[in-house]
Amino acid sequence: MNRRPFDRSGSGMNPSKTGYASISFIFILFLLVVLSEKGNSQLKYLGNNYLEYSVDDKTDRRFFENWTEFSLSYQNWRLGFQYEIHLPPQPFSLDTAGQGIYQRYLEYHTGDLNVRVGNFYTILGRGLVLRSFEERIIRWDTNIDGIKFDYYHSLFDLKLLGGRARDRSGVRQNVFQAGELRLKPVSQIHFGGSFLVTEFNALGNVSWGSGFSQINHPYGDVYVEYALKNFPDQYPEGHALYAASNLFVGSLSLLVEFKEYEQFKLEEGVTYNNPPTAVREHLYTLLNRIQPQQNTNAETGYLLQGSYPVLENSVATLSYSWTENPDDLLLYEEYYGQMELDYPEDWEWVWAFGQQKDLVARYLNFVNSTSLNVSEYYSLKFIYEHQHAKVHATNRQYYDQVASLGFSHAPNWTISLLAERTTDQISDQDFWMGAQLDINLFQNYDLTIFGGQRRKGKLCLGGNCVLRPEFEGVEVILINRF
Amino acid sequence: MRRCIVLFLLICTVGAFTQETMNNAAPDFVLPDLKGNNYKLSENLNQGPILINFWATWCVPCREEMKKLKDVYEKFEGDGLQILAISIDDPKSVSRVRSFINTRKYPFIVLLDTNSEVMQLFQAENPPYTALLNSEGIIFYTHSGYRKGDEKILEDKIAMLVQTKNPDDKSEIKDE
Repeated sequence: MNRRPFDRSGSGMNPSKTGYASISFIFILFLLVVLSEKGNSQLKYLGNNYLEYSVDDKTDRRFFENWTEFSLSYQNWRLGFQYEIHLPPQPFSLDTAGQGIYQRYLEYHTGDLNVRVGNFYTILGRGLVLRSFEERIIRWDTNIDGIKFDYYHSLFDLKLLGGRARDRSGVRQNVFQAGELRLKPVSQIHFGGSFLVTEFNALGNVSWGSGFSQINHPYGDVYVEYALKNFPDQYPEGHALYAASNLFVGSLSLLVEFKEYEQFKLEEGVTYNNPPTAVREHLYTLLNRIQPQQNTNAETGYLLQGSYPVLENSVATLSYSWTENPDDLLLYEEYYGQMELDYPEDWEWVWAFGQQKDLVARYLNFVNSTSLNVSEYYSLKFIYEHQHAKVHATNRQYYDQVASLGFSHAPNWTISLLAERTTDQISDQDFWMGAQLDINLFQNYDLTIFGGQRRKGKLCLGGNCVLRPEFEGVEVILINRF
Repeated sequence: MRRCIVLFLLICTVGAFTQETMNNAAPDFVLPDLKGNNYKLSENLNQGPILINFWATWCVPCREEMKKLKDVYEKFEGDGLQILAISIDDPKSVSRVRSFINTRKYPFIVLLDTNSEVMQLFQAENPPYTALLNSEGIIFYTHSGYRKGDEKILEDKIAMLVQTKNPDDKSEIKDE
């Protein structure tokens, strides 16, 4: 395992050197901008900057993180890099403090061919074999440093790649090679396979791969992927099966997803794969807080969902999902119903009911969301969420409530009041309140200022979860594109 | 740390001075549609304005915006407007995209960017993110997030593009 050769060395960096590095970086950035503006018109640039600064009064700590992405294009070539600052990173991040150029790449693309050398993200199939991705909100970044080759043809797509994936603490793992071939003999039927070969320090040479097929029809579709691993004999065999199917009967849409993952957590430092969870991803805070952490070593389950426009300007959705381990222990179960209605004109309503059950407790949820167009550019939005919890082990009961009221003017600003309350006696605090201002400026700037308190809680995206600690203070996020 | 913050606020000011550079060519890309066929941006230019909207089934403002984009599409369909609704739903939720579109009868070209690679090419951070291209593929207007009323500004921008394409058309264009 190696540290990245071109990034920060850790918290022991000389502050004066980091200052010079920042100045040099900005100077180069300006130079490139000026060159592309004044010079050859074929030289184009795109960039964005994401700045997050927070002052936590409770812990008396300040966090400053920044990501600057910049790419320069000339004809079929693209050069890009990402400069990052983590001084220090948020407490739920596994990154170490520091700054530097964390990503850089050179890309050549012409016609149906795309070749990139440097850092990239990618996915094979539905992620059973490989998924490299970034979810910045949970500070999850598993980019690959290597080479990637994509070729698109009317009859097939080919993807070949090799490199080292990054784990969450910034360490690059062993070199791997991977690829995917997708055959498209007719537009309705696709099938193919993917593979990955690498070496685990603890196991020696390992590989895994999958076969998949997809059938599309105007009345529905079916996707099936089955993956197997080839590990040394002394280690347990494993497999992963994922299937999803949509069926359309007029406006009625039915969805079935099935998963069966056994000994298929493919990790050494970095987790290479990230298969679908077959669990509904929710739109609201309290429902989303009870998301299960995916365990691809021992998980079986399914999701059923139906949606239908019962009235004009309305959609009703019902879903049920269930996950258990190989010992038939129920890990997660959810019943959910939602009604969206746009009535009368200028009003929008969403009502949702849900029952979630995990290893800890049973949760009953109710959500009401109301939006109103006050005038052409002004609008109001009120969201109320209620969750009743009953803990299995002790029968302890409590409820949580979240409410938010927002007032917006398009396209410039929104001001929101946010509040949360709990009757949970274990919690040190029973009320949290904050205010948030979101502003769009000059098309290019998005500024968010939050002040107040935020309750700690699990934050999950795509089956990956972090525990975000309690916060009290001010948080500023500034995004701009150039 | 204070010095770093100041320095990066300086970087942020680059955006203010380079707003004119919105006139960049959009990066070309290839993405699969809901039937698995590849859609290549450069092969679909010169038909009219192209509205690219990055969205996800789990994103509340995206869902609100898509309802309005349907009206925008119906208004400018005759002018050759293409709406590319690029879903960034990951493998976890991508199976739900077609169901979502079918129930709501959205007439857009829906593409799947399951690893957000194309969204990153557009330097977009979070959905919803909208980029309006002229028929030659030059970025004319971008906007992130959605507030009720944003679609009216978008309609004005599309009308400006259509007007540029058809200068003889004297239909009224609202001031921003």
